[in-house]
Amino acid sequence: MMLFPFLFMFFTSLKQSQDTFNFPPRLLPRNQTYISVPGFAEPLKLYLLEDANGIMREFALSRDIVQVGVFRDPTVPRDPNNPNAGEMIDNRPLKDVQPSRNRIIYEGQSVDLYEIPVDGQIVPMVLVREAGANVFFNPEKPQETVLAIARTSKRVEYISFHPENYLEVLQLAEGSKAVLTNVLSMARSLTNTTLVTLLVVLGQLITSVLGGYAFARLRFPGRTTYL
Amino acid sequence: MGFNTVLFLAGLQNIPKELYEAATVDGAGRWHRFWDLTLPLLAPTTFFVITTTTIQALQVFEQVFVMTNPIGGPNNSTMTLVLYLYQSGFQSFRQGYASAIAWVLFILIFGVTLLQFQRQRHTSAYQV
Repeated sequence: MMLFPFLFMFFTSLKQSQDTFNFPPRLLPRNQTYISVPGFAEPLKLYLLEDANGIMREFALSRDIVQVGVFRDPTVPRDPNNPNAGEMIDNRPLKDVQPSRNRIIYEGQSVDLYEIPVDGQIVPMVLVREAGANVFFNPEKPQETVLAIARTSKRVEYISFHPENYLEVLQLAEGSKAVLTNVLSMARSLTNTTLVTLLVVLGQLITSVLGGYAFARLRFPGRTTYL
Repeated sequence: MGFNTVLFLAGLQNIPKELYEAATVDGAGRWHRFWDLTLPLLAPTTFFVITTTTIQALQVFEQVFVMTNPIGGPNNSTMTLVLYLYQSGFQSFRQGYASAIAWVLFILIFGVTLLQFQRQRHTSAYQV
């Protein structure tokens, strides 16, 4: 129990920097799985998504982005503290979603009503805004595609340890990733620390020996009462 | 500083007066009494003081942190290991790198302490 922070720190030191701030935090270092698909020059990232039948399976992320609609139920009043609450993204291309015949007055404007499936039920909703969704496709059947936001989707990952951090520390130089510091910060700080340590130890020894000797051997008023 | 003084005070008070008297009887001068009596008998205290002070000094942080802005400045000339760890982890947000520095620092301190313990075993053969 007491060792857990140290354990976590140890595994963090084996993570790549983009892995360290994942939420929720995880103990073991992980990497996203990539897959090589014919027709694509670079390997593609794999994500775990629901297919058309509601089964979770692995999909590859393509470069394409399709506009999808963000809808909300006009019968539910907006929460003034959290005005975006209740909005939902419809995972169909917006051009394929046809408005129904009905129109309503919503927030002072006449708008179209759309029929959006929510948990198996059709709910009439209004279009709030548009958003870009990533196109995912089944690596085995490239024509089978799914739309989702990549940032919030579940990644397919494998556990992998990265000793690069240690190599970087031991090489004493910070690589090209340096943002705030200049090169050789590690060497500089190591030198400074060694210098400080040597000087501090020497100074402490000399002054403490003298002080200790004075208190132990010399006679001064109050010596017997206070020591 | 004061703590180390108290340690040395205790170490000096623990050396029996009889030994000094015996040394004087044997014809040892001031220098000999210090070099051949006080120093060897004070070796455990000295060892402890050196070890703890080294460990403390390797983790120097507050003084530089308080005095410099940006930390470690000007141009990183006053950067220390723990300061660099803090900067990497909590200002550049490279937590993996910072954790690695922390572990390297730990191994460094552990190694230095081990080395000192080995030296200590060679020198402290005296029993009062």
